[in-house]
Amino acid sequence: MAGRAFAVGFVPLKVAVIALLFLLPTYWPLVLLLLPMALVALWLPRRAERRRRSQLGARTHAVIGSPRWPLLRASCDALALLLVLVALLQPVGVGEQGDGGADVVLCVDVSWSMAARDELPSRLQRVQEEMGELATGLTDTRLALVAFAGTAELVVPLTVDAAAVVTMANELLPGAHGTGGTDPGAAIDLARQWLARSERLRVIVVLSDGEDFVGNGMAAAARTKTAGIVVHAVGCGDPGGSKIVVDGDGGEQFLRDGSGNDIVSRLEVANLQALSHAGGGRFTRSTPNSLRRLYDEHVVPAARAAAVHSGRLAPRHLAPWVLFTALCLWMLRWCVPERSR
Amino acid sequence: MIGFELGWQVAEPAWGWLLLPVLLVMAWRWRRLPRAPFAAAGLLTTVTAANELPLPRTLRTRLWALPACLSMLAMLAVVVAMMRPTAHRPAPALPPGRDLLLCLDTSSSMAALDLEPDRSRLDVGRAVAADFVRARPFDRIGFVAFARYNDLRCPLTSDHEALVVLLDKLTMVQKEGPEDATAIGAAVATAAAALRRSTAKSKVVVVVTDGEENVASALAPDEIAPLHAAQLCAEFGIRVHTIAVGRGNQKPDGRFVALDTTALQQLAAGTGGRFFVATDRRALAQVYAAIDALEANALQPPGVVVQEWFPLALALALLLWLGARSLSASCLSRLP
Repeated sequence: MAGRAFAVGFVPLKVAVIALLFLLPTYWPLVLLLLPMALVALWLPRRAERRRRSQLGARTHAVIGSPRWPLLRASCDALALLLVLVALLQPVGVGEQGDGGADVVLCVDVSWSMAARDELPSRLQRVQEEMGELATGLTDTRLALVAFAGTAELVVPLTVDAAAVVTMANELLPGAHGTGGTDPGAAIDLARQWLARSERLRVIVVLSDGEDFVGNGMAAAARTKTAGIVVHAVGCGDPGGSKIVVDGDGGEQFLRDGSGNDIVSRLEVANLQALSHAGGGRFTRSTPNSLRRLYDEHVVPAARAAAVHSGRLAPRHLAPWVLFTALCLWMLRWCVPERSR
Repeated sequence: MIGFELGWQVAEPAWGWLLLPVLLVMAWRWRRLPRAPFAAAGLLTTVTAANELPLPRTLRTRLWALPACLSMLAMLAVVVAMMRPTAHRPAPALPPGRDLLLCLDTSSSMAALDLEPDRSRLDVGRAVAADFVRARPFDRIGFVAFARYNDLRCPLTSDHEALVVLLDKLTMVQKEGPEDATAIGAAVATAAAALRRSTAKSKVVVVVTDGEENVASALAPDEIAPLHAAQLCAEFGIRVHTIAVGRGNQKPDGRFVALDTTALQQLAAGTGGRFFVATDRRALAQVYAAIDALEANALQPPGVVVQEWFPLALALALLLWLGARSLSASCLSRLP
């Protein structure tokens, strides 16, 4: 009777303070098989009823009475049966306690373009602030940190010490990590590798301006989705673009390309949208608390569902209430007279 | 929840009160149940009784009440399912695990080759630490690298493979550079701050160094001395084990001068830990084995695996119901 993760993971029907989901035990295909059998069982009495009426001809109403009673009995039967089948799928309510304990790898873009100041104080510092907002109040969720530019590197492995992750993220500097360029695909592949052994809900969040010089991001996100890991993206910057301010000799100056022209970096919304779509996740623009909102709205409910499936979180079983309704319908059916007097 | 801690239990016994109204409806229904397979049979019985010719008792007349009985049993099974019978089996006991931070000295003196030929103290220390980490799968382990300054390079993690990867990236500071010093007290304080956030019952710091504290002194009152770090750890309930590696400070002429390990001994003693000396790789491995034994994991009482059995009761109810409906619609149908 062990629970099996539903392909979608959960059904997030939010009702008041609980989210309804189905545990879908291993036998759930059998429940679907029962459905046609049950329909046959409902159809047989209807067929018998029709036969009786055809045999009795003009005296039908006098002997059996109105056809509404058999119809009411059949309706009660059908509804009760449907509810029993629903109960067999084990509906549960997941309360709002705890964060479900997801494993989240934050892939932070540390390429030079993250020094642009279209987000204040800079794109990277905005990302660091977002991470600080995320880290507040985490209980069971483990965070890891991957920094990437042209290559990707694991900075912090999965840990419950979110404060340490934020401290180490705050030490990241634009252009100080790996080779030049921007390859989110490498970061996603590396994050997937470190999430491979995790048995919790696995999530990758790419925090970037969306530049992808290698063009590997979407393919990596699709591979990651196939592995059961969701890829979200948070876009930082302005689609209008901004020059990149770097420290140089004699103070700050704009970063230039080989021809001596100032480089203008833009937030590539389309890239990040495509990446998150390929990874089965969401894309959001960086605004105050946007990472936290993404986490609260899309990671926590899924993490709670995963925790219920794995037995780490005790759910509230709703099957008894579903069965109670079915029982009432059955008793009502019994109270309906066999024929009108 | 009623019943024993292990074995069969009923998770929601309150639903059992529903048996009363269900039984009442059943009794009422039973009284109203037709006594013959077709409506006019009662009349025929009366007539035949008067003529002393009893109606023949067929299988169908004997089983006239079977569909109703099956329906009633199905309802009872549904009530049983609502009470959620569960089986509680003992789960394998898991060690509780500890939170353990290694403080690894990365000063240039760790380049000495006295622990193992052709391998520096740092290389040997990393390799033995990696073995130690791999042998404690249930612990959360991290490490602090320190010389003049210290860094929490890896916070507490259960991902020991990642920890070993980060350990491999550990390098020594530049010889006689601005960072080439040994600040043991500050490193232990950083570890204590990281462990303070931990909720584990057992928190341990293992300091691996080949030097003496040479940052905190009477002339530098702002620096954290090992003794102060020991007080901090004692306050947070953290045990500190200290390991002095190597044969001592190596002089330019190649001679080794014995270390003054007083501060390391006091640091360990002040927090309930132990002080060790390792002069070669084998000894270092033995020290880690001794710490492993000192910090042995006590098994927790076995947990409980709860198995829901209400689907079985529900499946039974469904079968009974399907049987009742099928019989009443086919061979045991009633006319009219």
